[in-house]
Amino acid sequence: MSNASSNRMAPNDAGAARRDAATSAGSAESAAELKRTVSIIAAGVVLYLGATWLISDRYYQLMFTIIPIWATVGVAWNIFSGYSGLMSFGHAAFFGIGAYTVALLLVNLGISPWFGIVAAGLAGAVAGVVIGFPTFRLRGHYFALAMLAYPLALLYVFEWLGYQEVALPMNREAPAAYMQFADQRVYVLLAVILLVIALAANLAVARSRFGLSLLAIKQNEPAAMGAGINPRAWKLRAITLSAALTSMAGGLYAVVLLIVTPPTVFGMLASAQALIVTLFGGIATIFGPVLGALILVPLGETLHAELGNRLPGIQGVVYGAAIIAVVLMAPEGILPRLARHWGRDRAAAGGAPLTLDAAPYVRPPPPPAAIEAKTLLDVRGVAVRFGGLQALQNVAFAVRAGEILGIIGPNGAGKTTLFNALNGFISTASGSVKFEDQELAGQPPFAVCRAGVGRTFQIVRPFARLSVLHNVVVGAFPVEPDDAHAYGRAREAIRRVGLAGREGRIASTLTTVELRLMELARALAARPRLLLLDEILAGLGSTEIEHVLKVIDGIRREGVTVVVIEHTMHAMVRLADRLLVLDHGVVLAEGEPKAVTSNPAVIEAYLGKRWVARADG
Amino acid sequence: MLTVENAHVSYGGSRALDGAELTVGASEFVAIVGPNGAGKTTLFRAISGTVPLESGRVLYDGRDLASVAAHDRPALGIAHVPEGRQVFPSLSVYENLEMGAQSAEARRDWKATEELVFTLFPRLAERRTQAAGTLSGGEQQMVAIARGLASKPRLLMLDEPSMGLAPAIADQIFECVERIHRERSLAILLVEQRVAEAIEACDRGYVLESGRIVLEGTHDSLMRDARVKKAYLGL
Amino acid sequence: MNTAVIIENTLQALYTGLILGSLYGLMCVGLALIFSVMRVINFAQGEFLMLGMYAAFFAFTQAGIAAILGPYAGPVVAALIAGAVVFVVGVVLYELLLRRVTGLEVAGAEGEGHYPQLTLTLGLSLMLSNGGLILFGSMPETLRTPMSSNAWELGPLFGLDVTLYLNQARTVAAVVALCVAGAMAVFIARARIGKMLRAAADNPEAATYMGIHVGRQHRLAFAIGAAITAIAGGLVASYYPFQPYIGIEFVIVMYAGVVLGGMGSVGGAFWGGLAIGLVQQLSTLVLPQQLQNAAIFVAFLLIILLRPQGLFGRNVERV
Repeated sequence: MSNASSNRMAPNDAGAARRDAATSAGSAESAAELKRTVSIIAAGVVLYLGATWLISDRYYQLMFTIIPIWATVGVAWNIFSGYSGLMSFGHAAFFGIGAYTVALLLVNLGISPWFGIVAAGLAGAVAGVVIGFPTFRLRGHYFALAMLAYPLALLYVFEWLGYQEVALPMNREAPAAYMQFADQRVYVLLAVILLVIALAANLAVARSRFGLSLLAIKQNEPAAMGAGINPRAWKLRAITLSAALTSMAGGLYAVVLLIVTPPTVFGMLASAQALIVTLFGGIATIFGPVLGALILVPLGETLHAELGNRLPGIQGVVYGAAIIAVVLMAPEGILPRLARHWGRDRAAAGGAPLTLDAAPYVRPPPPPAAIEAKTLLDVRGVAVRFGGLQALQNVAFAVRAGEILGIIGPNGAGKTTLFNALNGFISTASGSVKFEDQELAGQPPFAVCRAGVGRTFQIVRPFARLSVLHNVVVGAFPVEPDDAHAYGRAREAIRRVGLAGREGRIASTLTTVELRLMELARALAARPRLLLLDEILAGLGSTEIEHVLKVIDGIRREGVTVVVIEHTMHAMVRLADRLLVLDHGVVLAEGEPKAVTSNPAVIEAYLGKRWVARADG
Repeated sequence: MLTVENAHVSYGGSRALDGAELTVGASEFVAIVGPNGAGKTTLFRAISGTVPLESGRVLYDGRDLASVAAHDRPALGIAHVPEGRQVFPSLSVYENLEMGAQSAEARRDWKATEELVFTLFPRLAERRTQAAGTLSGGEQQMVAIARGLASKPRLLMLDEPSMGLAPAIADQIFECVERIHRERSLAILLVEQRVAEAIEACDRGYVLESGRIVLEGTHDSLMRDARVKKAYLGL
Repeated sequence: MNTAVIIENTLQALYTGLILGSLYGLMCVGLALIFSVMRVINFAQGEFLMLGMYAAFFAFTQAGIAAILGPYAGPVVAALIAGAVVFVVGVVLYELLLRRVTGLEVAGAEGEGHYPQLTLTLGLSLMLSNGGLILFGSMPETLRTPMSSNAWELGPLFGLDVTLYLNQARTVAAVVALCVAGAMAVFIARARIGKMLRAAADNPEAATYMGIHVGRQHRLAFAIGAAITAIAGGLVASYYPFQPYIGIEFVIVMYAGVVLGGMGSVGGAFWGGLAIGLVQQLSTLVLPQQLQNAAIFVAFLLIILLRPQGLFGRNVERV
């Protein structure tokens, strides 16, 4: 049954676009979800402002102002760190820059905070790029340490510059023009407006190609690159947006508190607050940071007020304990934990798993006329060196359009190295890789993908909480600027692998073979002409293998040329039209499966010289 | 001495072992061959306890090892020489060997071990103070095997000792392994890709494919069995 | 006159740099040990320094060490006792918290696996520093002894009006730090446990195949690392006023030293700390007071961005 649907010819673009133009974000469910989120935000705003209106105590009015400010910082932090997975321990840098921008513009140039906060946003954006550019080259620990150091360095610089305490002056003539209001409650309104702006930005990012590309980078950066995503560009965009919002929050903070000191805005507690609020409430969720701020800020402030005299520092202790508790018990945050708890029923009704076509795959007869199939990929003299080791040497072969080529070879032969070289993950010491007359050698992986070469990876890490459609559409974004078209391509790809009807399933409910097919669909969403499959059958059961073989054959019949690396030989010899044998980085043999597997040199490579000798003797 | 019953191991949805079974008797030389991705290293990891079993059991001297933590298994007499040598690169050759002798008994017999190791591998004696990370592949393999011997094992498990070594060096390593078996009468469980060498040296052999044992026999029966080739090449 | 002043200032700065550098070096050794074995960046290391200072202070003033051993040997012994105390604290913290986010599985994962640890130690840092504020109050303390305000004079040198003043407390502290660092070096190189720690650092999986309990090695590394830094703290306490938030002042020094020395190299960390000390003191010759700390940060950022593997850069990737 899945064969029939995958054999259908792909619908033309216009038809797909027309079908999907109706739903802007790609599916009906997504639009409903958006509406629900917006109404929750609206309801929340009304409730919150209503509650504010009733409060007359200045202290609580101040607290009601601080909560949305930190929620904004949390949302902003989330936009960068939550989606990209790069934890920033130094967002206070942006917060402080924003605070000082507003303060100094007012003090030195008499510029009203109404403009000052906008300027703060710009300053933050610039800081985001300046900090992000060199720091994104760093991996893991180094990245974390560098981000940690930036605000602390700024702290000392500002102290040295003489800005230990910058007080915002009062303006008697036109206070409102300088964002000075007698009624503290107006500040609550301003803070809530800023939060709504941040949430809107978050929403725009979350389900869009922005958020999905970041998530793809977070899950598996090489795979994202292979799918055509440029990680550097997306990270810079994310940090710029995040920094701008954080700076604006810092600017508002300065206006509210009327005084800016380096430790308050650049200090560790500020950085920690940015991340704990989101960590606690829920990473990569819309409402997580808001929830976190609603719980933690009043908690901290109240403790500080009530017990601050007898127990100074109680705020820090509680925040620290909250961080530890979250890491140990709910690493993703409260909201996802609760969602998993309640959503368990929904997930259990995930639906019946894919019915597998278990009939053994039989290679179809060769096409009737001996078509002079053109060479799609021409590899010549490729050599790869790792330090002193020659991983690949003078590798040359051609891939004919419409065929399935299998690359095999004993352990350590260089098969994955070859794929990585074709894809652009490692550079070739010499040689050329011509795809449809375009030279690929030396191009970065995302460029190779956009040229029409797709790739799957061994480690499949889907977006567990998102639907199949969202998982697959990430593959279409880099080659399709229009969202509606991109979703159309995603659906088409899902059809081609036989998962039609399952677009809405949440990825965590899929079986292993369904996940593999989804990964395949993601690669197909970019409409590659050449597809590199890296051990797509690894670890699958025998019926699953037969099913996937048929899907691959179906894809080939639609005109995609396939190159496969596989260890599951009994499947390979039935799937591949031709086999290429690598051993110790050199091409050992090439040809039809029967011929190759009876080639004594090949047998020797796999089983050893003595085996061949024995077998003869 | 060692029995693996119906072992199932999965790595996040991927089935690495699919009901693998084998036995090793005291002083037996058992070889496991099979193509890449068959699950050979996973099998060793399951026996050593660094990978949990989804189902099935590993019995050693009749005792289920499920209750024994991975770091306590070497004390029972199981020595694992891992794939890729895995020496401690910043420690010297001598210190690497010392690390092999953790149990009280092994430390008591250290002098004897020293003598044995440096007789078997004279190259190591020359390089005893050299940092192991700077040795050649073959020398590192010697260190790894010597390290395994230092624990005074009753079962020595070797995971692809010839991998990445030039044929001449691999031959040397093989000879040493056979010699160890002859002289020390330990049980040896050897995983190898060089099929002929492995099967020749062994008493009994298994062919592992796609996480399952597909063939079993004595070295005579396996040498002539065409199904061995089929397991590797599919045809 | 000018030449003499310049020479005197430079020599004084060099001397102070070496003194402080020895102490920084010892602190860095503690942090580096934890990182090399556990692959954990311990954000709370500054708090271990702080705990060491307070432990030494209380041992000296309240627990009678001053009475028993007098003002000369007292502070040194108090620092060592502080080390023992923080060792125990380290064990407890490991068992309660760190164990759940480190160990064999995590030590192998270089990628996302380290975020839980980083965040956990950040929370720990907040708890310890603020908890300290509650317990100890915010008044700065010092372990004042006659040595704190006395100095040995060295001079006139070179026949010029050049005299060096070697503060006694600082000098003694530095000498002790060097001894402790040396003892650590010997321990790691020669003692069986030291070798086991190195093995667990090099390759946790292979160490398990040897029968080494990697979790226990982690616990030991964490406790020793905390204790070493605490001893350094106890020694610094003899001449520098401290309060519960002092950790943050030194933490960047420690990171800078460890990164400069090369993450993963315990010995390199000592030299890195020493270098940072020298840079800091020599920079006083040209930079104004407040900019010194900023200078360390800038230096730190430059090292990370330009040469992350540091001087003795060991390959931090596992075998």
